[in-house]
Amino acid sequence: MHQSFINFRHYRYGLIAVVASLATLVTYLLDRPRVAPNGGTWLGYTLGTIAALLVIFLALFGIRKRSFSSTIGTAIGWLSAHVYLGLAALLIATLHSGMHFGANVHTVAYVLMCLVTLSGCWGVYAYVSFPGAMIQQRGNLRRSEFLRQIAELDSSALELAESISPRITQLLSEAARRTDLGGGNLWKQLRGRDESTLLLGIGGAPRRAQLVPNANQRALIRTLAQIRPGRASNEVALASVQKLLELAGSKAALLQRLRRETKFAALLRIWLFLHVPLCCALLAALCIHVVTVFLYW
Amino acid sequence: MLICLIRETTGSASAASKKTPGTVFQTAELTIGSAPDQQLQVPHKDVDPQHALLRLTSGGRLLLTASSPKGVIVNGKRETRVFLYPNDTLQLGDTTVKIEPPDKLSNEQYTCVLRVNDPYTPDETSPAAAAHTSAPASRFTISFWSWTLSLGVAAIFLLVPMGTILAPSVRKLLRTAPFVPSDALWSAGPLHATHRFIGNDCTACHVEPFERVRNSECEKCHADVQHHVDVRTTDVALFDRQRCAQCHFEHKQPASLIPRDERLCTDCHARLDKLKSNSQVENAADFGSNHPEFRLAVLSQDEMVAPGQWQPQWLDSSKPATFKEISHLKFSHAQHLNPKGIKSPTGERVLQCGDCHRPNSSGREMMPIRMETQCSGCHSLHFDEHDPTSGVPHGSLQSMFRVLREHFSRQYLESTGPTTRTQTDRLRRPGQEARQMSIDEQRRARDWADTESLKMARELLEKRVCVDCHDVTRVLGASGFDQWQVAPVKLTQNWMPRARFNHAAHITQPCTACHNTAEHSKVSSDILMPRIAKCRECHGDAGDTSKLSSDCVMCHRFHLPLRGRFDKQALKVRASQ
Repeated sequence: MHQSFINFRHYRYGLIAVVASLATLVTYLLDRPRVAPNGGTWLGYTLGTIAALLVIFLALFGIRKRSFSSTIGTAIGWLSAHVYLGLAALLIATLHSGMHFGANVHTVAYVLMCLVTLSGCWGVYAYVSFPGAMIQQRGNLRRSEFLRQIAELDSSALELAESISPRITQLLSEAARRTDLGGGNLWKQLRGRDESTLLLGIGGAPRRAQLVPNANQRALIRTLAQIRPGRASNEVALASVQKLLELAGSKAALLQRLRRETKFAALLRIWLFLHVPLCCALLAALCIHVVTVFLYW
Repeated sequence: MLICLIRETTGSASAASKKTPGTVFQTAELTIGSAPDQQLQVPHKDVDPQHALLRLTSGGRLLLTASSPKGVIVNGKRETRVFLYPNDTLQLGDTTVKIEPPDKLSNEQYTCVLRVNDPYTPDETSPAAAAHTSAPASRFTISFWSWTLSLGVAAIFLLVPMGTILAPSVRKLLRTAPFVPSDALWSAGPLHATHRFIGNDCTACHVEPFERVRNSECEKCHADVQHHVDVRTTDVALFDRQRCAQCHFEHKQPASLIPRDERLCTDCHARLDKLKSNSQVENAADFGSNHPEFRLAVLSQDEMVAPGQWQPQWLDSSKPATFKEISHLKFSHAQHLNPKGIKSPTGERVLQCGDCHRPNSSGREMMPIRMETQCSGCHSLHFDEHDPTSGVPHGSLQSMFRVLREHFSRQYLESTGPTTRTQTDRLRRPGQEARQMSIDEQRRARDWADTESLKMARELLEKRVCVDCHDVTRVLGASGFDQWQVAPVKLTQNWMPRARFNHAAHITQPCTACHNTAEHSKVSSDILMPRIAKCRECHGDAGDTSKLSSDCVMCHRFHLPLRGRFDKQALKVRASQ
């Protein structure tokens, strides 16, 4: 069976997390503190210490995964522990709080912990389900392969165009350059909208140049379809235009697949933009929580 | 309006030699950037999607405005806003743009002519564009957000609120200004309603950082809180370093300053015999199964210790058969509660407990039984059945004798008593001086009144009125009015001085549900207080789900009256030991 971070070493960390959670829960239910359960009872202090140490351990994963030379466990083992113990840590922190919330730094730390865990859960979902979907949709093509194929289509289109006319050459050259490959900032990558444009009216006076949207190469295909090559329409030129249309169609299809690929890649990245900054904020809030609890004891 | 001709030459020599047709834009502003919708598109990683704008000023000059903070390199200098003139050169990524003088050959008058030298050959365009467009071109990286959020949290929740501790001068400002973070953000929970007036003045109680709240802060308001034990005894050492906050929890939810957890008491009281060898108080761990039998304190007189004074005396709870109250009152509950009724001025009347035992205004305790309020309705002190106004006062034999003598003296004088002829002669007539009684007559009148009074007093004290309820004794060797003595009556009011009982809380129950021996009690020495078993019919341990959960503070208090102040006295005693 393939070993992922989910079933690492026969769910070792999953079992540890479940046992720890159950033990905490049972202790919490059996405990009879002198006031309503809260972070200030002996169990509260104990659970708080455990939860804080767990949070620090979970944050250390961020360092461990970057140090490739480290021999402290395997990266996949760390990820497995990170995921399972992270879920257990939220439960322990919840019991530590005794379900008392208010407008204070303590609740801010708890809410941040919930948000970090939630974004982490989304990350687990993305890591489990997206890579499969990506492989399925790109059909064993690597990203660079996509780009290479698109470049090939562009250059063969230009080669053909040069045999027809300079105007068409420049039209296709502009179309190639003004192709939106789905890159840009994360928001653009996630939205996946084709913002390609096409420059029409090339050639100087008296015609004016005009930029039109060229999503899925539609404008290019429409323009190519209207071309009447030369005064003496010959078979060769017509065949070249036909070939150009085919190339544009293939490019449009490739671009669509590349865009979906980019979108998945962005989805795999975007949650880290929440998970990591929120985790840093949590560490700050956690330190303040611990200090202020004893500052005003 | 800008009419702009863009001429492109590619990097390769062969392409440069080729004359490519130019592109003409007629536009208000010429957009320059790496995005596909820019009129002059320069795909390069150093060029922003929307990098710069070129427009014509009203003075007819060309103005380049860079919207990207990277600016544009014009003639080797980085500029963000610059006028352009012919032969100026712009550098955008790897691309150079040259402003050419207006084209003389053309028929059309262009506002400007740009010669763009793009080093990429067309077949390299796509991968090059892809290389920069696939990476998120943003300054707002993960580490940017991480630092921003962590420093934001630190500033709002620690650095600014720290001002309340470190800079007392800004303390008030931080705490009162709206939307300004203060140390109130560190509060673990709301204050109890009785402490809300303190507001967000945390340092009112939390005086020393990293130190628990001291008793002295509590005593600023709660100055006269009494101790649990007498502070003049060594028992006070058992409470050494006891903090108010060890029992009175603040900032907790649900807010409750009176702790209900019985362990706060039973930590000591379950093993009190080990803590204090000569303890008068028996061990108690919980009410339902581990609580000593109620100890009753009965008022009694000990002539040896304090003559004439009533003092509470503990009864031995292990010997209920010996329980006796010596109140010097003769009273039969059974007779008064006779279901067939009892004689009263208005005929036969069936009495209820509540006819005599009335609660005070709080309803918690019963008011003392008094002759004037509870008994006199039936028990009249009339002594002359022919004279409805005749009556002796209650409470003092001397007053009673005085009233009797006054009564009989008047009777003598008003001739309502035994009349003689001489008496009528003595009466004053209108128009005549009042005649003085002769000394002989006076003595005769006094003797008669005294004799009659003594006769009546004997009847009242020994036969029919006083003696019904009171212990009346004869004093040996005494005569006249001094020969009687009525034992003073004192009814025990507080049977359990160490506990509190709330009658109002038990109002749904009939009195006899607990005081169940009352209906059959024939003598006043019977003690009608219920035993603990009676309470346990309804009251269970704290946490008992089958009965009423009963914790210690339901009946007992920690701070007891007249024990001495909680903290100050304890310190004094310790210092002197």
